[in-house]
Amino acid sequence: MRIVATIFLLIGLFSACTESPVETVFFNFSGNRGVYIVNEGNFMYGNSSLSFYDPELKRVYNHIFQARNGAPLGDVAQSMNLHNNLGFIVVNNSGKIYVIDSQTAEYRGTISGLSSPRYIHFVNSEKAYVTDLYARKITIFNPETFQIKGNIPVNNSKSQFNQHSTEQMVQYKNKVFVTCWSYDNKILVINSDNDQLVDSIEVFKQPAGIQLDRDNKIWVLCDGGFEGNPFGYEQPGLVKIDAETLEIERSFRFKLGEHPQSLRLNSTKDTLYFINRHVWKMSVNDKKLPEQPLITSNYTSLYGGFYSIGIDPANNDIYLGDAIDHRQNGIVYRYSSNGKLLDEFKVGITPGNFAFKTK
Amino acid sequence: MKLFLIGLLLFCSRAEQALAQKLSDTISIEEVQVFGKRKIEETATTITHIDTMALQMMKTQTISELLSSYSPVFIKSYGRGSAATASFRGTASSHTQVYWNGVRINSPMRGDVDFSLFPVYFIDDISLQHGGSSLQSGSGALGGSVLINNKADWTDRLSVRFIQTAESFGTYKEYLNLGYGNGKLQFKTRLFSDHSDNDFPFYNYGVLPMHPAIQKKADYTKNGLLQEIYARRGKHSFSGKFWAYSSRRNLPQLMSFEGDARNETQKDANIRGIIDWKYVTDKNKFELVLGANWNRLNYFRSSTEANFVNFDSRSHEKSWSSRLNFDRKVNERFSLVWSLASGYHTVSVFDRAQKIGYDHNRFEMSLLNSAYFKASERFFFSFLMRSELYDQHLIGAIPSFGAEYFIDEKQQHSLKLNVARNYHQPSLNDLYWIPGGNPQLKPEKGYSGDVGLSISKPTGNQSFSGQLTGFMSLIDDWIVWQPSANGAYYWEASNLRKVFSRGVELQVHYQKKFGPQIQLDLKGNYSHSATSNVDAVPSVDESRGKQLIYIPKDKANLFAELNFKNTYLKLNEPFTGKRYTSSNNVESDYEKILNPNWLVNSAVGQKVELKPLLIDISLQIENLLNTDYMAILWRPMPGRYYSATIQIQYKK
Repeated sequence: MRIVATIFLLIGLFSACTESPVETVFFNFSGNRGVYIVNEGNFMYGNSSLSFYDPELKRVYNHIFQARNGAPLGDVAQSMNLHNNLGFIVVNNSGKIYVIDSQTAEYRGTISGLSSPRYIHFVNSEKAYVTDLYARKITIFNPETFQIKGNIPVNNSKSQFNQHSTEQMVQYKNKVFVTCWSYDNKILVINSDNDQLVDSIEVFKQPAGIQLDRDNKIWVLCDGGFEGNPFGYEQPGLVKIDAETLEIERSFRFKLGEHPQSLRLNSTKDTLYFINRHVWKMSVNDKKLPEQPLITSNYTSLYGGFYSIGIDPANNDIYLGDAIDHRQNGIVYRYSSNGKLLDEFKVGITPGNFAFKTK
Repeated sequence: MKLFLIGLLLFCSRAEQALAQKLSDTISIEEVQVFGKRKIEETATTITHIDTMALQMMKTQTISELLSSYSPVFIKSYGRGSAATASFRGTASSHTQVYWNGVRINSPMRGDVDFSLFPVYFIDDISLQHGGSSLQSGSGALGGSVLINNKADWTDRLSVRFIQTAESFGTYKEYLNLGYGNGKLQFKTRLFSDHSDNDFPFYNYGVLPMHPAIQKKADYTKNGLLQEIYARRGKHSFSGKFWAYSSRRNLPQLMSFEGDARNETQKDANIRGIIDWKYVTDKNKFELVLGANWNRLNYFRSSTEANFVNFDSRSHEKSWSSRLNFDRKVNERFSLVWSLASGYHTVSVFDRAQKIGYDHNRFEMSLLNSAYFKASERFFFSFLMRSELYDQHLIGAIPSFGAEYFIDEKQQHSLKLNVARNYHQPSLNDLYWIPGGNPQLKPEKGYSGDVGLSISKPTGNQSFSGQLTGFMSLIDDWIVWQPSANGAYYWEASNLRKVFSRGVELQVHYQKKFGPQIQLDLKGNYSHSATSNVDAVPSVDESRGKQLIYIPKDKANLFAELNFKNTYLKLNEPFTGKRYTSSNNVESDYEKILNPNWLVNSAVGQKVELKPLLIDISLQIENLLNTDYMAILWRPMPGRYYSATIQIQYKK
């Protein structure tokens, strides 16, 4: 009898031993140029992570947030911005922004209580905006104190859809232009002096990416929705808007069924890059969409391929994230601005966003 | 820890002595059915019966916990009271087919079954058909089938059974069973209610700074009714069963959540009814079963601060089914089973917040022809052939072959073999979900084979039985949801994978009687199933040959029950092996795998007879060793907790 009891209890005891905590890893990227890679992870898995790549040493450091701070980054890390030696990482489905020291990855604070935060735009050293997929407001916080200071309501009660979901932002003078992606077709214009919604511009369906070029023209990439979308489904498009007059100057259409995404500009703000299965490059003066891709995706299978893009402001190197099956560590390919492969390295699950550290 | 172990051992031995002195009255212990009956249709097939002792032990739990503790089936549970789906032999949750009194109740919308919505109290019999053996009940079970049945008790003149459980974290469960009849007409009514605040403490290491926390918004309330009517006259018997169930669950957030106040709930309601008529003669058996199954599910998520509803998805599923069976025993050596089943399902899904949904229906028919041969006293064979029709798809031949050879004359030890082909239709969500559903999906195709050794050794006051099965299956066109290469931000369903699954299942049971008043039962089961994607396409894809995520390779259970007169002590120790959460099975300090965990659950109870009442009082300690574990990434599980149950039974 006792033998049996002992066996049963020993098994239990064996399993009750808890794992020893992992030692803290210290980083110091001071003086190094490099890029932070935000790995989204999977929705409801809480497995997003942060990587750092040093292009001079060709060395990648993965999981730096958890390695340095002990806790995981959270559920679906969406974007990251560097500002005043701090890194602001928006963790979408954890409803928060984690702030780290951009040289050491050390945790500095949290801006919590958000609904479904997406992107940050810094208006000045004391004011930043956070867009949100669901909150129907843009949250204003102080990037020095990490305190929420207020919000800009963007509720559109006239629509049967839950508008406006706010997405990416660019600023021209005191006007902040905000894309409204989900079930929407608007660019909102916010006066950054008084934080008021002052105007809006109608574009194609589901505008996501937005960039401001050297001529003060705003470029908006719209994905057109999807088949069966109650808000509608149309050809994706690229729209060029004059930031001063808010007039649409030119528009470009993709084919139905294509999924253009990740609109970026180079450092001189005269060349656009985006992914539409392959990587495409066009001048801000072009009058039609490019016909030949800059970098061709070799994927022929049903899944995998280029998922995200980042342009190094120092040398216009192109960083391409490949999420493979979105359930394993992704790959980042680094290309020169003319499309030559320079390096490739493994990062975390679903590399989705890049934040470049210039020093 | 050592002291604790010694202390507990001392307690066990002392308690035995103390009880031996105290209890001198002889009170008859409830009769316990240990081994399932052997039917000819069960020869040459791999079937596991979960015995009534397990049902009794788990009477206040759900089938998800029962299967998790007493079967080789892996249950993926999102936490206490939360949704729980099954993985049989390493396959997906939709590859386990579930039959309630002979009618398939898998959701036509999702393809799977949430086992947390089935109280053990509402079932009288549960068995598992492994692999190809499941074709007896129907197709689509690429892993296996779970058969849940209710049975008449023709001896019941008037009986009442009431159970009250009080558990940690504001949990209260009540169960009531009323039975009456005259041997020709029987009625049985079962009611239950289960509520938990589910506010257990845990250490939150998913946020900074890490801190002790209390689980929030995880409460649930479940209520149910089961009404059964049985009648028999001559060679005819009739039964009607009606099931009504509702559940409301708050869905808690992940440990890393620090967002605004969120309300996330899931409400389930289902109504099922079955009418069954049987006509049995010496050689023939006719059976007609008609069933209806209605499910409603409402998933709701809102941000309370922004007063904004993110999701308000309502789905209605209605299924009608019929089955006509004819069994003919041609002679002692040969019997035939013929069955024609049909089903009509309608699914209507609409999200009021997202303004999106679909309405679709499905008609399906299935024809079974099977034959069972007894070639000699030791050799048994079975042949099955199913033909299926669903929507516009005809699957002409789904064959299965089984053989069993008894090694000894007493027919206690046998060798088994089963090979089968199988198909699984895509669920309506796979086909029509917006966005990403794919109407072009093909059915998943499976080939499976298993060999088994079954032994049984009853000798005097002890008995031993066991079953060892090795299995292998190859499933092609396995349906996966993932982002497609065209760059769409939503995920799409496709027949992407070829999955090879292989492993072993071991089940053992040892029973010993120490004199008339002491009985020991030891049970164990272990399963090893390696399930890997053998068809990863892009060269950079490292998932080829790796274990599928969230499915453990190893799973085991140990169970011990010691009965001393009317006192019992039970230990139940479920083990879940390491599970990966990424498709390339990477593990490091930061790449999270789910660590293996071996839990210890215990119960001590006393039965008291106060004529005409039989009272059973028990105390349970769940997770006795306070093991810190996660069943799903970044979802906390409770540490040690307690529960007390009183059962009062009256039988005329």
